[in-house]
Formats: sequence, C-alpha cells, structure tokens
Amino acid sequence: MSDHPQKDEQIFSTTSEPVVEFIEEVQEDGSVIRKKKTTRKITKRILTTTTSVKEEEPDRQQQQLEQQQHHQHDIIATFESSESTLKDLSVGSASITEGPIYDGVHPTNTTSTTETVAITSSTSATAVSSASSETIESDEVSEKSSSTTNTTTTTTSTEQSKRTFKYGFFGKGNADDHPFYKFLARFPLKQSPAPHTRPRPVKPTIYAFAPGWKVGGGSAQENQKQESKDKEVETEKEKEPIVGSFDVDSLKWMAYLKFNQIDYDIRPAFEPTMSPSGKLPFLALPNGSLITEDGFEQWVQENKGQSDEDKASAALNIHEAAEAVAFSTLAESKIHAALLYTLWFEAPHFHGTTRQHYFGHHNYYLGKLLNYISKSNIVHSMLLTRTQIDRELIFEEASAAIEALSVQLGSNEYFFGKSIPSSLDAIVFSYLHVILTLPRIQNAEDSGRSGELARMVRKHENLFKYSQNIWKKSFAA
Amino acid sequence: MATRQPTEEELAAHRKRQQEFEEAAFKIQSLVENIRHDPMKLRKITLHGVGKTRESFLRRILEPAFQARSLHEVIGLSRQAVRRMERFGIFEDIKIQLDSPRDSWLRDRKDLVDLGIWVKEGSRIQIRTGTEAGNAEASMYGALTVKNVFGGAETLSTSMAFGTRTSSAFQFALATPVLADPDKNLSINLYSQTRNNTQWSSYEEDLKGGALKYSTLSPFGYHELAYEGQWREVCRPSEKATLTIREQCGHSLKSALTHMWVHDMRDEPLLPSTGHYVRVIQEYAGLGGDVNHIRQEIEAQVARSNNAGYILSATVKSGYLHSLNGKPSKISDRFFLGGPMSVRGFKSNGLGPREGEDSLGGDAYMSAGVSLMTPFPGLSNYDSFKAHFFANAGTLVSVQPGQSATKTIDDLTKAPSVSIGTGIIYRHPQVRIELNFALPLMAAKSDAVSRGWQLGLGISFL
Repeated sequence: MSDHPQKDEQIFSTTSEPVVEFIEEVQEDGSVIRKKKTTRKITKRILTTTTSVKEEEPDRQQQQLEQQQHHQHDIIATFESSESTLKDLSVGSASITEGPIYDGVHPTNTTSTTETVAITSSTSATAVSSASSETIESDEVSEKSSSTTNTTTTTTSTEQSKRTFKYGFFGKGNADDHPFYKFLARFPLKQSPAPHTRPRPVKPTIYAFAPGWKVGGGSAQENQKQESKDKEVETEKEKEPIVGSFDVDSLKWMAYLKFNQIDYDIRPAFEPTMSPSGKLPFLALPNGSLITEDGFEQWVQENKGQSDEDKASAALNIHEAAEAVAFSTLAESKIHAALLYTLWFEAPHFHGTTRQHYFGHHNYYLGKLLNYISKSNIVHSMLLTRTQIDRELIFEEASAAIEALSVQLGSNEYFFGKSIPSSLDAIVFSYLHVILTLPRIQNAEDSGRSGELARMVRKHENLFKYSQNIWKKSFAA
Repeated sequence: MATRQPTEEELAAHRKRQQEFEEAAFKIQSLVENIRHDPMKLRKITLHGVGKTRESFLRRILEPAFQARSLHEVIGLSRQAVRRMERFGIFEDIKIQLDSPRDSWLRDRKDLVDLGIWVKEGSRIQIRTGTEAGNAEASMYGALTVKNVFGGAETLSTSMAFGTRTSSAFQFALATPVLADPDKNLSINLYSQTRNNTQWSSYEEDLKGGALKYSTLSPFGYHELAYEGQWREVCRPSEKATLTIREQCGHSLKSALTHMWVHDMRDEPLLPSTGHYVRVIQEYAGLGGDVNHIRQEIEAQVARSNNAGYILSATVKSGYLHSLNGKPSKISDRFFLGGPMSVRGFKSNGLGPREGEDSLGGDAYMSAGVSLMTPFPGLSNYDSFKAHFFANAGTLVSVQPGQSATKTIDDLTKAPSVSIGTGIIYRHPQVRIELNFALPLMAAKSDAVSRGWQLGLGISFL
C-alpha cells in the first residue's frame, strides 16, 4: 500500500447512486445467510485533501482500513456514542449503519479534510472500530462483505493538524498558505469536550401523530398522564408501546413501512411546523437526513426488506397499477373529504375528539383557538376543490367510493388478490382504521350523525374484516 | 470695528453702576433674610393656561406647597412643585410669580402669599420615524405618541418597527404616572413581534402578549414590577435546522411575574469611567400557562479611571433558569452566550450546548470580562476613541430538572471558554462601536469560535 499524498483543492459535494447487492454465504453449519450490501459514495466539501490516502487495488480484500489521520475532534463530538450501535445488525433488516456523515461542516471549525466518505452498510454483525471519532476516508468504495469498513482515525492535535478555515480579511486560507494562519490555527489553545451530544438513532424514526384514538390514551396529554400514573404505580411491566396513529397520513406511512418490513421507531409529534415540508409525518434517518412526503415512496422502495419472491409476487402488472392509482385517488379525495367533515364539522368530534388529539398538549384555551384556526384552514382547502361544503353530497360520494372499494376487494386478503400488501392497501387501510376506531358519541343531541361514516364502512363486512386483519397482522402482533 | 479704549469717565460711571447694583442686591437679600423665617402661608395658587390637564392631577402635584409656613418654605416648596410639573413633560414652559393677595380685604395681611403659575401645554401628538441601533441589531421604526391623553400626563404610544433581529414588531402602550408622582409609573403594553433567530439557531419565534408594569424609584434604585402574559410560537425552522430544534417547535404560554432592580451609579452607560452598576432580574412563571420556572439574572459592573484617560472596568453576568415542574426548559426561555457584546472571540450565541450549527441555549451561565481602555495613540485628543485590551470568560450549560446544585456549579466552573484580545472603541453619542482582534484561549469543542477581527455595535457590553 502506498501512501499517496494528494493535494486536491476542489470543493464539491456529490452523492453517487446507491449500489445494492445481495450476497449469499454458506456458513459452517450449513445455513445460508443472505447479506445485503448498500454502497454509496459520498464526497463532501473537500476543502483540501492533503492527507495520505491509501490506494487500494480493486480486488484487494482486507479486513480493516486503518489510517492515521490528523484532524480534529470537533465534528465528531456529536457522534461519539454511535460506536456502540454499530453492532448486531440483524440479518434481513434493512437498517442502515454508516460512517457518520456530518451535516454542516463548520467553516471556521477547522475541519480536517478528506471528506471523501465511503458509506457501506452490510448486515453482518461485526463492527470495526477503534473509532473514537470518525471521518473516514478512502478513495473508492472498498468493503468486504463481512465487515463495515470504517476507517477510523485517531485524533492527534499536533502542529501538523490540517486546520482550514475561511478568513475574510486575508482571503480564504489554509494553514499551509500563510504563517499567520498557522499561528491562528493554534487557537484555542485548549479544548474541552462538547457539552451536548445527542445519541444517534439506530433505526429510522418517524415523527408522527401517535398513538391512535384509543390505544394508550390518545393524545400526548393523556400519554403524559399515563406516564405519570405509571411512575406512581412503579410499574415493572413494560409501558405500553406506542402503536398506530389517529392521523391518516401518519398511519399510512406506518403501515407502508410495516408492509415493506422496515423497522422503525415512533416519536410522537404534534406540531406540523417541525417538519421540513410543514406537514407531519416525516422520517429521520440515522444518517441525519430527513425524508418528507416527496421522497418517502422512493426511499421505501430502495430500502425495503422483502425477499425476491415476495417482491415478485407483490409487483402489480400494468393494469393493476393503473387501477391502484385510480382507487387510491378515489380514497384520497372522496373518503378524505368525508373524514375531514366528520372530524372538523361534526360538533361533538370537533370540540372533543379532534381538539383533544391534535391540540390536547396545549393549554385548554390555546387549544381551542388553534382548533378554530385549523378548521378555517381546512375549510379553505376544501373550498379549493368544491364550491360549497355540502354534507349530503360529500357523504354520498364517500358512500359510493367505499362501495367501490368493497367490491374491488371482494373476498381477497389484500387488494388485487396479492399475498403481500401494496401501497394501495396502506392507503385504504389507514382510512378505514381511522374511521372505524373513532370514538363513538353517545349523545342525544347528536343522534348518531357523527357516526355515519363509521356506519357506512361497517356495512361492508369485508372492509371491516380487512382492516381488522391488517391491524392484527402488522400492528398488534 | 475697532474697540476704542473706554475713557476714564466711562469707567468711573461703570464702576458706580456696578456698585449700585450690588448695594441694591444686598438690600433685597438682607430684606429677604430678615423675613424669611417670618410666618407666611400660601393662600391661593392660580394656574393660567391650563386647558387639557385635569384639575385633580394638578392639585395633587401642588398640594405640598400649602404646607409652607414661612417665606423660605413657600419659595422652596413652590419651586419643588414646579419641578415636578416639568418632569411630566407635558408642559412646554412654566413661569411662577409670588405676590401678595389681590383681594381688598386681605391687603393688610402680611402673612399670606398668592402663587401664580403660567403654563403653556406642549403639543399632544407626536409622530416619529427613524432608525435605531441596539445590541447587535438595527431597526427602522415609526411611532405615534399622544401625551396627556386623559389630562393626567398619561402617554399612549403605538409603534411599529422592522429590524434585523426583530423582524417585525408592533407595540401599543399606555402609561400613566401614579398619584401624580413622576417617579412612579404604571403602564400596559400589548405587543406582537417576530424574532428572527435563524442565524444562530435556525428558527423564528412569534411572540404576542401583554404586560402590566409598575415602576418606581426607591433609595436603593429603580424598581420595576411586572406581570407578563406571552403566547410564543417557535416556528419556521430553516432547512438546516437540527432535530433538537425541530422538536422545540410549537406553541407555549408564559404567564409570569417579573421584578427588576437597577442601581446605576456610573457616570454614563456607554463607556463608564467611574461608578458601579447592578441589575437584578427575577422572573417567576407559573400563574397558568405552560411553563413553570424561576429565572434569575444578575449583572454587575464597576469602573475606575484616572485623569490621564485610562479606564479599567470589570463586568460580571450570571443567570439561572430553574424548572419547577420537572420538565426541561423551552428554548424561548433559555440563555444564550457569546458574541461581540458578550464573550468576545466567539460567534453570536456561539457558546454552550450546540447541535450541528444550531445553538440550543442553556439554563445556567456565568460570564466575566475585564477591560482596560487607554487613550488611543495618535488620537489622544479625541476622548471618544480608546484602545481596548480585554479578557473575557464565560460558560453556558444546560441543567436537567432535578439535577443537584453541586453538579451545576461543577459544570459551570470546570471548562470555561476564555478569550483575550485587543482593539479600538469608538464612543458614538448613541452607541458604542468596537473593533476587536480576539483570540480564544480555551473553548469547548462545539463552541463557534471567531478568531480575529470582530465588530460590535451596541449599548451594553461585557
């Protein structure tokens, strides 16, 4: 291996397409382990690459790359505790582990260069690391199927540290360029560890409205009350895990992730502004990036954990795909309108169920105010597609849509007779489940009006069973 | 025009006139001296030129003058009453005249005096627009002020400001003196602001609220007691906001009692050369609302100088946020530290817990600064320019609810961020401008350091 100091001084940032490979290996005891390898090469912001990079022959197989690298601890600070998570990746799950990608390299934080980061993930168990901190560099993708290759670097802050920073008055600077920069790079003379570190998540985390209408209590407020009650009782039993959601979009994502066998954590969130797109849910990946509605479907397709036969059986032919689009559009417009009406325009639900679940964590009066503001936004959005909000018409259309879905489903387990649920199943299931689990209003004034949508669904036995079945299989298990 | 030398006669006449003046003044003075302790009372006060000001209000101001029992006291108390009237700022011009009573049946009474006051009320409505610079921010504002709204020197003002840090602010305030005392003031404020924190924490904050404030002077200094209700929303996280900031997004209500005490004995606030200054702010939030905490902030400054223009000043600032209900603090209440006006050598709000490039704020901080200001070489004639040598240190930590006090103190003292540097200060009449070259000596790994040149513009510096 030759040390080959490079002196590139380009600044660019590219991400290559992920290359997914499945490798089957026969173990000693005869069992076959299939391993999945996703390789991405991410080259980020190379300010300078004055590092010794080991060149690798393409077919070299080596267990670990270790390189001595001089650079600083700063960036690493937030990732220190991730090392412990690079272990025990379960076979078959598509969890992604990688060398850390740090967002937002601080320009004045003298960062070390070599930002060519090769991310590999494999589903084998061993993790490398004498890593106390990170950055990796390798020139090309090189990984062995049985180990993650993290080139780890120990930090030695010596005078040779390649600190670089932009320096307005004297132009962009590099420690090597000007002796003044060398002098400045010595400051601060002494560094102490960062006060705040956030542990890296292991699994993708979905920030969504959770849990469902009834399970675990419902809103975050009741969740907290439940938590405090649990603490008082000093439970030794497990706290009820958070399952499902009362919001259609959130439940749709959860169902879709479950169908594609992607393991995830749920983080209850109730503020849509926290999401990059302004709408919940969104997905926070262990590597730091956030997936919103736009990239969700594509991401799931890239990372699903299904076997080849499953995938083959689940694939829809072109007719079925077209029908799936039609039915999902039907559901998302007609049934969605009826559901919005039920939640926001039927008085008992509006003042009770919806307010408690969407705004229950706020002060009571603030919750009411936000409730009204939300309702006016919903009115505005509904009036974009129709001239007036007519209850009869909305429910009539919803009834027709539900009937169409029921006829299409027939007596199959999933739509189109597949054995593996598809995205259409996720969409339809989320609507049905939210409608069916809405708390019933026993109120003389209401006289059953607010339960009309649920009744419409219950009329069709197969939809009811279908929803229950999916819930039992994917969520309640 | 050439002045010719005064002739001998003119000089003699001048001297004679002067002597006559002196004799007359001496005569009046001795006359007054003789009778100043004679019993004398104020019988009637007549105000001329008052149109909108309330009679009850003026009566309260002038009431103490009736306590006078001798000429000496009459003159003294009348002057005091007029001073009080001037301090309200609603009169443009005040003239007084003491005279014997006009009424015929009182002509013989030597012990009664009438006071006549001629006032000119100032204009009521004032509209101002302009720009102003404050601590690390600049803004344009427009304000409408109505003085003496209800006749009792109440002030009503509405203002609108757009700035760099506070991107928009609307305020409506009604202030009134209490019991006709210009030192005691009661005011109601209603405001709606948007603060732009994207530069250091990647979020914006909407604030709407109201406050009821009572301020007064006591022998200890200036006190202000306030009740504040605030609805704040952390919203619009920027693209690069980290997850911890995103999790802070949302609404919260704060309902708090605040007390502020200021004791300012400096010669001037922008670049003090003598004196000391203490400010203590306490806030208890918990009367309803989402947050329940006690927030305390202390600032103290002392300055000494010698006649050659050398000034040594030292400042200490400290704050503590203690959560009372066991929940972690919200970012809207936390402290931030660092910057050209706080610990120099670090970016604005660059100290303390940070995630990525976002500053998360902390619950407890300590900071101290020592500055030596000397006359600037070459500009020693200009007192506004000073060379500046400083050393600053600070720590900002977060406190978990239920943490022991010793751990907090330990966290605060174990790893301070220290910087030294030098620079030049210019004292503009409204602001202080500093250009410093700062070097951080000790820092935490996550601190956002700013080596080298740093410009600071503001009013209160560490």
